[in-house]
Amino acid sequence: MRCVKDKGITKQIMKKKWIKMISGCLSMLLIMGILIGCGSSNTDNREDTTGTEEQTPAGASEVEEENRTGLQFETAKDGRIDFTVLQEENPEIWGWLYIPGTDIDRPLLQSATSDTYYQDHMADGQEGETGALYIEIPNQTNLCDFNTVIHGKDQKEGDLFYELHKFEEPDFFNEHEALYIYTPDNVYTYSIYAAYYDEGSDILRRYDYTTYQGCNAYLADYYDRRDMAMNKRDGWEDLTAGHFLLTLDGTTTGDRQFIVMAGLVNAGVANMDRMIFDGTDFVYDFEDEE
Amino acid sequence: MNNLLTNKKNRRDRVANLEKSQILDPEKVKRDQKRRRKVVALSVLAVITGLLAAAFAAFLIVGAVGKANLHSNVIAAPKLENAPVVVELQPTEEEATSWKEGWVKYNGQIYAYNEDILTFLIMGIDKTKDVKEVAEGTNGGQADALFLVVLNPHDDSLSVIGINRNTMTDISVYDDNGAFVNTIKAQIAVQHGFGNGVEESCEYQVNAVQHLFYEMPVHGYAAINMSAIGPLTDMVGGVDVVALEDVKSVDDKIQKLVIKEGEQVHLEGELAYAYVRDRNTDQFGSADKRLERQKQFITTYLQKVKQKTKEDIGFPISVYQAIAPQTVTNLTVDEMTYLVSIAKDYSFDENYLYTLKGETKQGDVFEEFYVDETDLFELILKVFYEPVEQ
Repeated sequence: MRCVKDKGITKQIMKKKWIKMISGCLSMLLIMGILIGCGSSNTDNREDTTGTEEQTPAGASEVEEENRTGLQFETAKDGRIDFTVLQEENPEIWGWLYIPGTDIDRPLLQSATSDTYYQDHMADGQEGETGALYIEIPNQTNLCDFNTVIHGKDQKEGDLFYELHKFEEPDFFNEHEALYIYTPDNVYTYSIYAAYYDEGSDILRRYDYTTYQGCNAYLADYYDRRDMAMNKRDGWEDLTAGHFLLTLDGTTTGDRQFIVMAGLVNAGVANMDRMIFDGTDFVYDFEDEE
Repeated sequence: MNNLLTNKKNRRDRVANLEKSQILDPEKVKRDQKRRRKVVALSVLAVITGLLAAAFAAFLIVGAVGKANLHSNVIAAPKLENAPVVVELQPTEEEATSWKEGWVKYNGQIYAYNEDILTFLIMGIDKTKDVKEVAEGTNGGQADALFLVVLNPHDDSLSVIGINRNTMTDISVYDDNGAFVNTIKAQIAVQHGFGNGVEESCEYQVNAVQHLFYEMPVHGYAAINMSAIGPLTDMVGGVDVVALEDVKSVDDKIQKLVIKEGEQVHLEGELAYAYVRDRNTDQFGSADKRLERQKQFITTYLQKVKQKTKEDIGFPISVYQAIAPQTVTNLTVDEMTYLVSIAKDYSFDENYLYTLKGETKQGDVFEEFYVDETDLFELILKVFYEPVEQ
């Protein structure tokens, strides 16, 4: 014969069970919270991981203002870029892009072997989701191509080209025209003349920029754009195959990519020159039937 | 295995407890049973309510799907159709702004695209028989009449924009195999000539109009052979107008004057066809004048359709069915029904009928109409955009 359990004791046992369940859930949530918190703090900026080997924490605080160089400290705001130090950290740094009014004050890279290396490698060569600003192998680092395309991610805060989107706003676009590219021997000055969402295809391979026909086809398509939200600067209606253009190209999402276009206005001490070829010209003989 | 034994034990305990309670406290047992019955009744009620709610939700969903179909039925995916991405700028020294992608700033005022607008292209094709697919080339027939019909649910209005058929714009050229060749500048009406004369030609024409209108999305099209004008007019019982100019019968051989300028005339059948179609190609600017007649005709015609639809909600569909052999459209009957249901109460009069301003010049052979870009830009802001409160 079984003893009948005392109701009071049963209640106590049930309570203990409840307490155990609840505290178990809470501790699981706590652990998950801690793990998630740790995970998000892994998106370091380069401040934490770069820097020359010689620098010790104590040494960094003793560095004088004029000698703030290297990927960690370099800026174009003082009008000087020390490429010696930069190229010791990564020899693939060939230039420095500076757009006043934005946080774009960053090195420009070109991988000798891959057109996508710097999508997931940072300016110091380390792996990183932010990537770096870079040009592909077909473009020259002397900026003499008809269209030099600089790639960078632009989708979320912290991305290197995120602040390009400031140029979507007409007032900002009108007030900020200058763009500078520093190279070891020169400073190039550009004027930003357009900002818009382009179709998603590969800009560098959409046209043959080495021929008159290719450049003119590119320009014809550009001038044919009818876009309510496009920002354009007056005075840039007469581009030709002989100009030197810069495309600042964000990430392609879906079937479009945000780009900012700039044209060279001052080559500094550089001698700008390139060959423009006369490609074959296919002409369709359209007979009017009206 | 242990669980099974425990379950059996628990069941035996419950039965034993029940028998014990029955003897010791019968009232409690009755109360418990009543409570249990209540619980069962409530749960049955909950299930029934749940089923009814599900049925109602399903009904709403079907309606919403029909509406969503129309909005997703965009011929060429333009940038503006995408949901606006909120780009939060870092605060500048002056102010913390939040510019949204796709916004337009004009004369100090910010405008946003009206996402709920539905736009349709109505084309009048210069063909007289039933619609027929043709070989690739330039035999599709020209779109001699082009009207953008815009439904705006924000202010319950219907707008119509008439496009001059000689408007110079980018035309895509296709060869005899249907392959794209290049883009040329030509009259907008010729675009429909390329393609197979039915859906392909319509899509090319829609693309050309979209491009002219800064890539505004177009949610559907209908191309009607001009010969359907007569039957269309007869179905509403004729259209009364004061003639804007002299009109000849369209039969080239006869060239008879059938309507005099200033005359009050009741348009039906062949007469309606002549009024809408006739153009004196020797006269400079004849396309503009014809567009004026077409505008006048459409205003009166749509008002008559509205009246008839009030009496009979199925009227527009029966009109479509009557001219279906002479029409190419990508709208389904469901979509048309939905459109009629919302548009029948929309306001429409001459104030909502626009034409593009510009200048007609004589080209080498044919007339060329050059649209006033500023006027077009402002018209697009007026019809397709809304001011953003700051």
